[in-house]
Amino acid sequence: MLGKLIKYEFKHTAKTMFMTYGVLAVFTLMASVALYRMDRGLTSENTFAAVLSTTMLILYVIAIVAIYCVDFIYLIHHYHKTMYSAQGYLTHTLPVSPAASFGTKILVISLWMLVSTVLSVFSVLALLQGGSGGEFFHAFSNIVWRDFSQSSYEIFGISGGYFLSYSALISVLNILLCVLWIAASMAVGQLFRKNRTAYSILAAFAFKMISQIVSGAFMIISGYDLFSLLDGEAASFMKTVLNGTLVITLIFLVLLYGICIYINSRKLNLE
Amino acid sequence: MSTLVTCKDLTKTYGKKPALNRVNLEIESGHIIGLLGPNGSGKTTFIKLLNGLLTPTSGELSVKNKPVGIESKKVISYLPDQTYLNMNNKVKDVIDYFTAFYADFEPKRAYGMLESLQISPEDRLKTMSKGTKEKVQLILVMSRRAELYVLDEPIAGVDPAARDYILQTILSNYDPEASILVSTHLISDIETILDQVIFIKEGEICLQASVDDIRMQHQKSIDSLFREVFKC
Repeated sequence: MLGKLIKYEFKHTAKTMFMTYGVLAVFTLMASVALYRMDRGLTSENTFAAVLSTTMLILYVIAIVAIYCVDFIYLIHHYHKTMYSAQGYLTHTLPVSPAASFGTKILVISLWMLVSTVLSVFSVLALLQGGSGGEFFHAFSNIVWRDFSQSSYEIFGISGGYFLSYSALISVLNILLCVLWIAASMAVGQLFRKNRTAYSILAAFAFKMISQIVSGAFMIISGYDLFSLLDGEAASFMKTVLNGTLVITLIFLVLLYGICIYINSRKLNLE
Repeated sequence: MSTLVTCKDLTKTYGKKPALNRVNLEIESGHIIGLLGPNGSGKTTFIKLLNGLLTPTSGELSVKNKPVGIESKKVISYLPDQTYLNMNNKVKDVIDYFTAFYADFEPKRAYGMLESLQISPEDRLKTMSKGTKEKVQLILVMSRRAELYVLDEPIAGVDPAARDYILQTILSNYDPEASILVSTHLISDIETILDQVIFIKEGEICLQASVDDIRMQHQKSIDSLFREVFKC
């Protein structure tokens, strides 16, 4: 059943997501051409061409942010529609457990957002590579990576590769955390008969405040001291911060998931 | 004949207001039961509890001696009082979906009913009229070989001709061993197909009896008795 749930959840969301990826590809291509022409000085003597290329780059920046936001809003809207609105009647009367049904939706949303994130990064890299006439990766590997790796070791006490892997892991967990944060807020909101949106927003603020307090407390407990950073003890401190952030993120993931499962299985209150 | 649904002191409150108050009833197999009451009497709340869309405040509700859950959802085929399908889907997509998740769903039966109504499986739900959408939903629900069909206001909001079709579909597609629970306040339209009625008033069951007994005892039609009991 889980396989079927995942299959249909992807099927129901794929069309819109692929459409936005198509739009991203078109903007990336157009911005790459604009950047390439500017990089090669092909627009320097033609004011119209210069304005057009600059506009194209500005539009690209707006588009990449807008597409990411649209993807996220669409997926959250889809989640709400199929969990707590009319289509929730079908979702919650399928002969599957609430955990399977909820878990599938969260998994699929998170995977789509991961794909959107990766494609956005690829889009920027493709823009730089295309715009530089294929020289960007060569320059990056020789200069930027060496400096980055060295800085990573000095600041965090870990290699560049380790730092990148850690960042990738935290990014994936943060996508999941963000989705669960919103899902838990909606779950709390639907407990009320009226003003559900307002209660969901209040719940979101409450969850955020709790996470900020816990993170702040962790910083204090872990011995955050600006002077020790200046004294060259940054590396060991940052290691503690990185590990602590990972642990706190995992704890919040488990807590938010637990709240969602509890409410959806024991306190469901469909309109 | 076996007991399908059992309620013991089933209560559901919204804030302090009870929508259902200590309801005790049993629904047995092999009956077409009318759940009758005016608007706001608790019919939909009861049906939602039965389908796991709400959780009781107190009391017990079991289907085939098991609490509402995966097992009860396997045997209950539910038609809500609103459109609950993804409007962007084609009819054939929804049939695929039902086939995938409900072991007792018979796609052949669904396609047969669609053909008799000249509804194309290639049509998208959003292009259909309200009445056609309701017919499609009913076809999906009645294409399951369920043990209990729960139909919430199946004839509200459709024209008299469509009502006849809906009632005919209900009668010709259910297994006599199964039961049908129909909630409505349009009693005169469905009276002829019922063999039991449950009157619900302000969240409490005020009558559960067979249609024949009511006619014998009160010398009245169900519609007339309803008007008398629920007189404003």
